[in-house]
Amino acid sequence: MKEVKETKILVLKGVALLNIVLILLMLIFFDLRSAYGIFIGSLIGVINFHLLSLSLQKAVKLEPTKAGFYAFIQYIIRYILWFLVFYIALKRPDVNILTTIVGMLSVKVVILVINVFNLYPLKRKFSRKEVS
Amino acid sequence: MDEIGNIIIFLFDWLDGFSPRAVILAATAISAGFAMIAGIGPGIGQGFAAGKGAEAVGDNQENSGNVTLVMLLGSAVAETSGIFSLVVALILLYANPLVGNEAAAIVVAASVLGAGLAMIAGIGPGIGQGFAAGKGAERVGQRPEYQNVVVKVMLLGQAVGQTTGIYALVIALILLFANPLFALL
Amino acid sequence: MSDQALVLAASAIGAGLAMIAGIGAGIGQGFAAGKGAEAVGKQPEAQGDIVRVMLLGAAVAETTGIYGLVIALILLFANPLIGLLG
Repeated sequence: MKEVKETKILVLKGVALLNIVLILLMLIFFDLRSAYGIFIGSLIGVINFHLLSLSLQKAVKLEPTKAGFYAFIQYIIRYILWFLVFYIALKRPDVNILTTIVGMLSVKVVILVINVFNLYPLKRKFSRKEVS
Repeated sequence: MDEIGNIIIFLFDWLDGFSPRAVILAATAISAGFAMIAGIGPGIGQGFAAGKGAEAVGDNQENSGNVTLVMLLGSAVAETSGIFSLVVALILLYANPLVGNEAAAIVVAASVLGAGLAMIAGIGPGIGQGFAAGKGAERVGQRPEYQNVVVKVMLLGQAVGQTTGIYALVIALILLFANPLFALL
Repeated sequence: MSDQALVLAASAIGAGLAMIAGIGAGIGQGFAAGKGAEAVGKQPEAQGDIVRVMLLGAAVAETTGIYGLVIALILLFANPLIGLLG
């Protein structure tokens, strides 16, 4: 489904851009731990987004009730993934948990900004010669 | 009724055995947990909005840009109850103003618990605002030329729906930062 | 029971309560996927757009459940309240 793929690439670019800005800010004003936290949070956010898109593409091919259950089970699997990521982030002393939360939210912020300000790339228009 | 009286007295006697600081900190932990229960609301509401958005795009494929915009705007507003709860929970954990308080430990612990319990009210606006977002997205799909009006009405309705969440947040912040009960002790 | 044990026990209760928030997002995603499957069944040629809108909506719906998970994990594994006991 190519619209889905285009959207994913666009969101990925937006998250990368936002990350560069945030990581630079963190390095200037805070320490390395915070920057690492943002990187980890955004990375897992993007992976989560990718897994979500795969599961939804499979879910729409099922019947409605089965699709609902399938999406619910996939959500639980992704929840466990988040559990592991945050557990590792909390246990390692070189990652700040609060900035990991900020990194996790960056996917959502990028989605909202792209859609509210309509930053979708314009499709190239073909000019047609009028034949009269 | 004697049994109930005995249990309560037994509970308070047991709590007296700990230092006041420990009782207050224990109440903080439970309270942060209660505050996060409000996350149920936005989850259901935004899921409803996403489903209605998908349905609307299926019926009106050429208006998918408008549908997406209205759905995401509405979902972003529905998120705010979750954010309030998260902020209160983080305040309780990392910037607790009542930890060193010298008043009676039971009253301080009860205030902290009450602040967390109050934030459970975030469930309501979360579900309601998500419902509004879904319905707005559905209608914009059918009538894209009315997008501005639909968005205005949706945001207005969502703002009114947020008020109970704001009441809860105000009570929680009063209990934490400007507690009137300590002066009565 | 020592002071620390009380705070730790209360943290465990708080963590359990905070994870309840994950239920809401699960229900929401199930509803979204069901509606999406229905829409694709009716208009299979629009499935790219349908899945895209559903993906954006579901990605936004996930995060509130994750907030509760974060608070629960903070309470369990990086408890800031134990340090305040002293």
